[in-house]
Amino acid sequence: MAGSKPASGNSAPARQPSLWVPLRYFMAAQGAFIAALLWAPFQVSDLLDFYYQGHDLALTHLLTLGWITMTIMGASFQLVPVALETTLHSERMARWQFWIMLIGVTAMVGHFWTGRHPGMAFGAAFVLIGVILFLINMGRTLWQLARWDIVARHVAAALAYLAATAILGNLMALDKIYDFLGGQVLRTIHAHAHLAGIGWVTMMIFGASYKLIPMFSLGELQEERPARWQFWLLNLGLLGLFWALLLQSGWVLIFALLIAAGVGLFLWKMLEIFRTRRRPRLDWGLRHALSAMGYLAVVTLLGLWLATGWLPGEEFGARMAFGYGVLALLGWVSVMIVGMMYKILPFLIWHHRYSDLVGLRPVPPATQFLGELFPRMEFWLLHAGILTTVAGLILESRLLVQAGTIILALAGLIFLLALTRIYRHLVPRLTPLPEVQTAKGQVRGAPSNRIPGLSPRI
Amino acid sequence: MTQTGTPPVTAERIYDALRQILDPELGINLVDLGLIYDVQIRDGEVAIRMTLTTRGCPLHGSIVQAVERVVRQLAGVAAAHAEVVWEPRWNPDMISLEGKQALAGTGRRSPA
Repeated sequence: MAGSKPASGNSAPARQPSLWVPLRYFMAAQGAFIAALLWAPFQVSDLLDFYYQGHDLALTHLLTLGWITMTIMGASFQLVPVALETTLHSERMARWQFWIMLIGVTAMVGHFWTGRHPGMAFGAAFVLIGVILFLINMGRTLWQLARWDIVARHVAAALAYLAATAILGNLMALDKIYDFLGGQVLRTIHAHAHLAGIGWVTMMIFGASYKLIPMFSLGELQEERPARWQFWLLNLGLLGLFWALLLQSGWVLIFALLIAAGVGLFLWKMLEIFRTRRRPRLDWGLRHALSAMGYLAVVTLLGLWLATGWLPGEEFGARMAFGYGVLALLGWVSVMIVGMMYKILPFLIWHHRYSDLVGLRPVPPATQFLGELFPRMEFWLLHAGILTTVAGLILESRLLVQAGTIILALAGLIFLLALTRIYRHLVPRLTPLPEVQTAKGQVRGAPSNRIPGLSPRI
Repeated sequence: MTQTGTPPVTAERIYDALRQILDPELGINLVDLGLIYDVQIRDGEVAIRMTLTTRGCPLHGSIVQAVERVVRQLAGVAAAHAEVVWEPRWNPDMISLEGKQALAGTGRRSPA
């Protein structure tokens, strides 16, 4: 990096991976999300059916693996240099991993849908290989760190839970063929889902938030200790919850309470960061993040209620559990990821296209890539769709689920439009830069010209 | 090489030139963000001491290159060199009044 000589010895700037390392993950993930949202209105009967069936599992894994896991993997490759001030261990491994994951997820989702277990197990094995590559890459990257802060701890824990989830998932896939786990399928699913949702996904989001939310809002994480308590509460609670769910023990409630306490601490720290922020206006990225945290609070309370077992009937309990799961997947995780994409994508693409042109040509600021109209429409449609769909699932209302999924499909289309607005900056023909007029009336476009006295205004 | 008869560059012109470089995330220029700590000029050679909002910032290299490029283009500048330091550590209190107004969306240079 020409000219940068840091004052203290160990301040070499972290090298960012090339654009396509994270970007191919993001694009595939966004494709999966939009596909799932467009698909949902045609799945109403299946959604109102019991959740442990092929079509629902296909849709669920399209979201959990295709959308959520691929996004987090791509984001990890991008954020690790920023958050941990180090360099990704291997870009090539990240490339291989992408294709393996793509094949694995497609095979899994396809075979869930058709109910062909061997094909699904094959897909699951591919996903496990992809996960192992990811663990090696991230593990070696983390190993380079001199000190593990709160972000690194969350990332490390999330990786461990990802491994456990993938292994358990593969065992469940093989069990469909060889039948060796003892038949308690539902308990295993609940355990698997919470390991994934809390251990892998929520843990990663928490870790990233401690770095990104202060950065984006210009707020401050004042005291790290509550964050560390949150980390331990979440871990202890989840480890206990996993076994309690598997064994269907009454201890579920105790561990759920520990998790709820951890979540409460996280939300408290986030509120503190928002309260101290120097950036009064909340952009659409931050608005999504804030509303996602609202869903997290509701999901946590719902989870606690389910853990008490005080439900008016088993059937209602099953519907409630499904509604709780959908609210967590869409309301907490997906809304958060959409918000983070609105922040990360313009930044990534701006850097790729424009950073070398600063001072030579007038370049648009990254903050203007997204615009106002599309994220606003998508925001309200997504929330309306989520709430309507979840209400419909819990109340077993076909009308609400149909309406809700149609609204979600619309939200998906608008999200696609918003993404197109950002991605078009990758194509110079679609986003030409204005020519610069010199003081003498000549048009300057080539970067190599040196015109004394001229500072092009952005 | 400075051209004969070119007036020497001033710190004010350098700061003016640096105001065209925006932080892509915040949409505020480097000067109003308080990231430019010091500018030294000697015989047409400009030395800039600056910092960044985030230590692990992925734009570290490109921002430094942009700073040097923009300053090099000014009349009277033979060479420009930017050094990134991490002390004193940047905090949002260093943002200028104009910068704060822009963040609040009330200034002339508001980001989207």
